[in-house]
Amino acid sequence: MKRQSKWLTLLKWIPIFLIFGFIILPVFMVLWISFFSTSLITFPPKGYSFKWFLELLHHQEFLSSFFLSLKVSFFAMIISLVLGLLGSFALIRFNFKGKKILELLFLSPLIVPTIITGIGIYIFLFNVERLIGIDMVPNLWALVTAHVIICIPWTVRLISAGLQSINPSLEEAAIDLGSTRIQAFVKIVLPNLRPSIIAAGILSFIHSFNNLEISLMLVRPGELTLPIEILNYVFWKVDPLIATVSTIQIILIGILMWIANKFISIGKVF
Amino acid sequence: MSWNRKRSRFEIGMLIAPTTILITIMFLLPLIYFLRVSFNQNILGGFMESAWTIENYIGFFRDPYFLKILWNTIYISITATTLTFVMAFPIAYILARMTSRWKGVLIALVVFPLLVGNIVRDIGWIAFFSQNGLVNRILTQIGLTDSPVQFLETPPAVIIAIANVVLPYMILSIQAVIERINPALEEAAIDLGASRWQVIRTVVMPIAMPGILAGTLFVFILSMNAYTTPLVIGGTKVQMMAPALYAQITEVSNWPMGSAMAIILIIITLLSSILYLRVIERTTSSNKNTTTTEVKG
Repeated sequence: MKRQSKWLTLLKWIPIFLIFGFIILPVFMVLWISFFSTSLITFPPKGYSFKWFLELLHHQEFLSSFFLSLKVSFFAMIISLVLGLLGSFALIRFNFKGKKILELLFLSPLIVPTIITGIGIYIFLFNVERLIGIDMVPNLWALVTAHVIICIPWTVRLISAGLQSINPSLEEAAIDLGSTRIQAFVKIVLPNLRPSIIAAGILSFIHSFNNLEISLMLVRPGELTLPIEILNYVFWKVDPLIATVSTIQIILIGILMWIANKFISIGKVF
Repeated sequence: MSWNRKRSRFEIGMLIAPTTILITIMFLLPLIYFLRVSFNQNILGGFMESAWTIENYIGFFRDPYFLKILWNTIYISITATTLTFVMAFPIAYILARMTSRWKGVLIALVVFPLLVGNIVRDIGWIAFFSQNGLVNRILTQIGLTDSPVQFLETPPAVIIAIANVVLPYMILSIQAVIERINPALEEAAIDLGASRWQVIRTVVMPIAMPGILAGTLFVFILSMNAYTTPLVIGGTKVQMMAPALYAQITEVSNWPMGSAMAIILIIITLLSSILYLRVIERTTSSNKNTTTTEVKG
């Protein structure tokens, strides 16, 4: 009797294992095929090798797009952090008319399809360009600005949540004791917010780094971000080489997530 | 007092202004511009001409090619959302009720694929589903088919790949609400003779409803907006709105039609979200009525 119930509990766990397997299946597949020895992917593989990682060094386009993506995401992270910090501080610490509308505005890039946001920014800048005659697209700063737009909802959400958990009377006490508002912000709020700021930074960096749609119309020909470079290659073929590019991205993001997880519990972010 | 108020108003303005101005100029204005372009006239072989016409919208709803794309988008999104919910609920429930140190590891395992990026996961799906991919290899090995089955560029493959993208969001939003339900409630129900399934259906589900609503809605919106996955997995056979409207603009260079499709996608997503909330509201309130009458009876 007891034995049977043990089997039953085991049986109940099978769907759970299957679902977890489903969650990690595509990532597992990518990691696996990046070690296949032959260019043509067959199952089971004819052998395993590291050679595709070395081969990658000969592919300048992946290296340069990797660095472009790093650069764009880094700037987008810094700018969206500053904007998110200022915006969240006003939203959480003050009461004013139109607060709800602003909150909605800051989060709205999350709901509109990113491809539409990207095309929209392109059309808009293209028209400004025609009006004032200054080159605006394609341009690194247009690309960074577009990435800032899609990162703002993340920084606003995470920093707002962090601010809510800091007692405002701490700042008030500092101000009563003679410090200015700005001093109180720098000395009291910022240190307390550190975990939220780091997590918001890392997650907006990852979000920007991964995002393909936002950049499609804003990149210069020959200077693509990594996801677009990968997409173009995938249209042509899927082989272990492109899997190794992806594997490197997986490792980078894994490390970043591991760091972020030290500051906040990552499950609470979404 | 009034001086103070003025001062704080100035401060709020300074804090709020940069983000508000940036989002207004670079996000809101472009969207309004999209709306405007969607009423322009397309010139075949040329650029568009300024006009106020609803021709593009009528053209969209009259063309079976576009209607097929819209229909694909809607039914794939609904199916993917449903599939995701069925998979997410048990995982969310177990994670919420877990106390061991494995919980953090499992949550990281749920979130990780989400952060890895769609294009990377799509490569995994191609290796899994393609003609000489893993599934076909297994199928031929055990003798289920002689020739490889076409999985890529079929709706089921797109649905599975999209469900895989959005599943973490669903798990986490349901898990968050279940975590806040006091386990004593469930124990009480079990002590009073309810089965596990009854407890989940009549105690956990109703209380977790806000999380389930938020999760399913967000996942539905994400599926409607999906770009990379339908493009790579769906190819030319299973087209969805986001890649199709991008193609209208960049390949066909029909800007007015592309803009009209963007507006249609946004509006249909909004309308179906409102409709969904209404329907759920109605069914849950009628459910409550039946349970109370049952108790009375």
